[in-house]
Amino acid sequence: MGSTGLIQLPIPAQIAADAGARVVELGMEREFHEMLGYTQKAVLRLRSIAVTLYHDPDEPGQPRVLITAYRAGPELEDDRTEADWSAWQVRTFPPHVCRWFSFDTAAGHDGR
Amino acid sequence: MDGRAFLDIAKELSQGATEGHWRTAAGRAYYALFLEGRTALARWGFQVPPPPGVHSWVRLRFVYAPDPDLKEFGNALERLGRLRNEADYALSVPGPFASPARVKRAVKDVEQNLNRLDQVEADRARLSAVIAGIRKAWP
Repeated sequence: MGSTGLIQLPIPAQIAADAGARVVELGMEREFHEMLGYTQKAVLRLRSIAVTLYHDPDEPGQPRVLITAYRAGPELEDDRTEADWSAWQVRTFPPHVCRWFSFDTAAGHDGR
Repeated sequence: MDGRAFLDIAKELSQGATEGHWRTAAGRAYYALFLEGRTALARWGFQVPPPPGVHSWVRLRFVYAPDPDLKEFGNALERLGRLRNEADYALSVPGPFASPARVKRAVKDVEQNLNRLDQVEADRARLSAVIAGIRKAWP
């Protein structure tokens, strides 16, 4: 996972090289793949997934792995996808895993 | 004034007509949640550090709390913090601020998580377990 690549899932996930390397560095490949699998299963109107590294200006030097689900249709005010994903994450993984992985949704497509 | 007052401002701004209103609302929504979390931790006896490290300090105390509602509070701080940073710094494309929908969702997110915090604080036994758990995770 050290280079940019695709993971073959029903909807492929585009993983940026630095994000893949961070997952390896954290030693959390199994947890990461479980999160990708859940995203595939749980996100309605899913078009693509992008995995990038998020550099938080409030936490320099400690980048997190951001899983973004791109979805068909516009942003909806009452959508609960992010909240439901978060609830699943805290039920499924301990804090030392959750702290490194974030989830987001975006309308449209990631441009590929 | 307490941090929660920023939520009212965020609501007002989310009803505005421009991308600038919606971006500003995202920041106020984040700060409503962050400041309430910071104040709660201080009330619970934790020594709160000064900026700039205080944002991650607060978030991680909640992420490691031994209570699913407060873990979600921590996750909400994470996603709202990202939205705030995008609102303030990523100006080249509208992104999630092409319409008010995303920031209205953020306002609801804050409301839900402030309710979670209130519920924990209303339950003395639950709160004691939370404080002990956070202290254990962050001695």
